[in-house]
Amino acid sequence: MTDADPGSTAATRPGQRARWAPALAGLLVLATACAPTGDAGDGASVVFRFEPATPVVGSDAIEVRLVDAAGEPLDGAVVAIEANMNHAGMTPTFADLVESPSRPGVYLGEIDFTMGGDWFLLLEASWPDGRRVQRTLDVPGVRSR
Amino acid sequence: MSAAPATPRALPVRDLLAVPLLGALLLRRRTWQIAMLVASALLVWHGLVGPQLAPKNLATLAVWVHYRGLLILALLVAGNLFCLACPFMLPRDLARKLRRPTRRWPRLLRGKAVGIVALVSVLYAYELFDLWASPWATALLILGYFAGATLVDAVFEGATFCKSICPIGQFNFVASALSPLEVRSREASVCATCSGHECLTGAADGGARGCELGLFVPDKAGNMDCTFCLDCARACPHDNVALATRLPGEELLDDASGSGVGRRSQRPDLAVLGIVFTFAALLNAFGMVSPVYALQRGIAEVLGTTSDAAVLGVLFAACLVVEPVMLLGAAAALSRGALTGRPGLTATVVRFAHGLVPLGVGIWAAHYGFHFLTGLWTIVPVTQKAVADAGLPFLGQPRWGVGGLGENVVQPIEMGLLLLGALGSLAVLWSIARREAPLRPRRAFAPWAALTMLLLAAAVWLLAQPMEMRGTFLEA
Ligand code: SF4
Ligand code: SF4
Ligand SMILES: [Cu+2]
Repeated sequence: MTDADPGSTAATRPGQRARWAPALAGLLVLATACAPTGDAGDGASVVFRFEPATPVVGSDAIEVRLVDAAGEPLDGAVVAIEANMNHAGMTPTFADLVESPSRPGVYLGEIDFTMGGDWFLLLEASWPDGRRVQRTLDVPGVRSR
Repeated sequence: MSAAPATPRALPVRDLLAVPLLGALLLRRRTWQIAMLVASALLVWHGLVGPQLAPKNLATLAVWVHYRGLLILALLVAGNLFCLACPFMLPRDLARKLRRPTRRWPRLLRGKAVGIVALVSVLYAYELFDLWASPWATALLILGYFAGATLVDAVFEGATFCKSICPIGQFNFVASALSPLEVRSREASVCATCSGHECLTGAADGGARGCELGLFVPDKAGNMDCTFCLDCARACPHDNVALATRLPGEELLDDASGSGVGRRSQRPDLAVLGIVFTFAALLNAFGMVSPVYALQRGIAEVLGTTSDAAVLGVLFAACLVVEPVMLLGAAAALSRGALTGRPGLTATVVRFAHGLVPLGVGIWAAHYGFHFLTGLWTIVPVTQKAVADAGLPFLGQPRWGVGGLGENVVQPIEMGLLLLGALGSLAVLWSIARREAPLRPRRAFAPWAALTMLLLAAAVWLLAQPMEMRGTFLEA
């Protein structure tokens, strides 16, 4: 139903709870489907890509770039990802990303996709000073081998 | 009234209602219903206001993984326990206290036609709206069941919603043919001398109601239309109703005339329900493996459409109408020559179709069992989180990352269920063949056995495919 290109971000926060009526929820689903690149009120934008571009079942390399509102890289974060399937009842997988030594604000890691289908990533970047950026990133159509 | 069991039973019969604590627990329907009502309220609340992420939401997780799995497992090891504990009946009973329904459900609609349409509609909506991925839509579905049961039964008498409409009910009625338990009389002789027939009409003092589904216990044959509500047991002044063990599938073997149901061979609607049940098991599993996307894109290209609804409609029509008509038509054409009196094609199909139900149950059980077992513990952290969100953090910190049984463990279980289902189907079809073609049972049996093996092969292939659960199929 909601699909975002890999590389753009949907701005739903997992803990966000403002959907009091189904109609509202429906609207929100529509709204999140066309959300602009990733500002969830924290001014940051999150861009990610996989190698290969359409991830395949197994371990896939991910690159996440964090920039602030001015387009400056957000470096020095601890970035953790929880990968879940869109279908309930599947065991999530976890990954800790490492900042690239040569490109500040770019974080690299591997995501383990255990099954084909639609996935989403819960990304959390946190800084020692308490700043935090959280995003839900859609990864539709992970291919089965 | 003859109440002798239709087939001799080799297994010793046990009556669970006579087991001290268990019997009392089973008879406490209200308690179970209230527990289920509280659970439903939690799911609806979380579905509407909780995180709109299927694996993190109780509505999607509990309904599509745990409830479906437990439902089919309960049907296999016991009986129609979900209907026994059905929470939809609580607001409906309450509404009836305020207003007694006066109308009768139209005679024309009394068979299973509406129920079949409702069942297929829910399965279609499940795929079209990706209900498995949508907590709020799942919550709406639950509310829809409550509203449907309450409204229909506020207007029409008896258990109209359960008997003729409820898709879960129709599913349970078909699958409970394979259950090892059945509501029946304890002593046929007691029923024979009974004049009140309270199990059907309700207790004389007006306390306990009689069977709202129109089943008369001494004449009942099998679990079709029985919700295990045990109203009959509460109403019977002679304490003569049992929840008895029996051979699973027993009711499919003979063509006994059952109270409120009649003979299966005279009920084309029941045959269609069984057929839809079995082919929908394949379709529902097909809906989540990768080849389905290629097929759907193919259909879209041929039709020149980009409408999900149209492509899905074609897929449903192909799998639930065209395919069964062709396959069962062919089997019937090949076998009917051997049958006594050489019945027509449709009549042959109606007689043999029930033989496919055990395989259908096996496929549903394998598929839902897969989700249930591989996702067994995922309910723990999601419940912890939901209860904490509700302001009651007594369940502690959510333990994200727990899963269930490994696929290497679950796959053999799935295959075992499929095989058991196929064996059950072969046994039932053989007994139908012996009944309908006593002179040439093998000739009558062979085409149906071949069909069973074909469907088994399809199911094995499907469940061995890599799973791929996607919401959108039309974009590449
Ligand atoms: S058939 Fe009746 S008892 Fe069974 S689930 Fe439906 S509403 Fe509930
Ligand atoms: S026979 Fe009727 S009253 Fe008795 S358990 Fe079944 S549905 Fe309920
Ligand atoms: Cu599935």
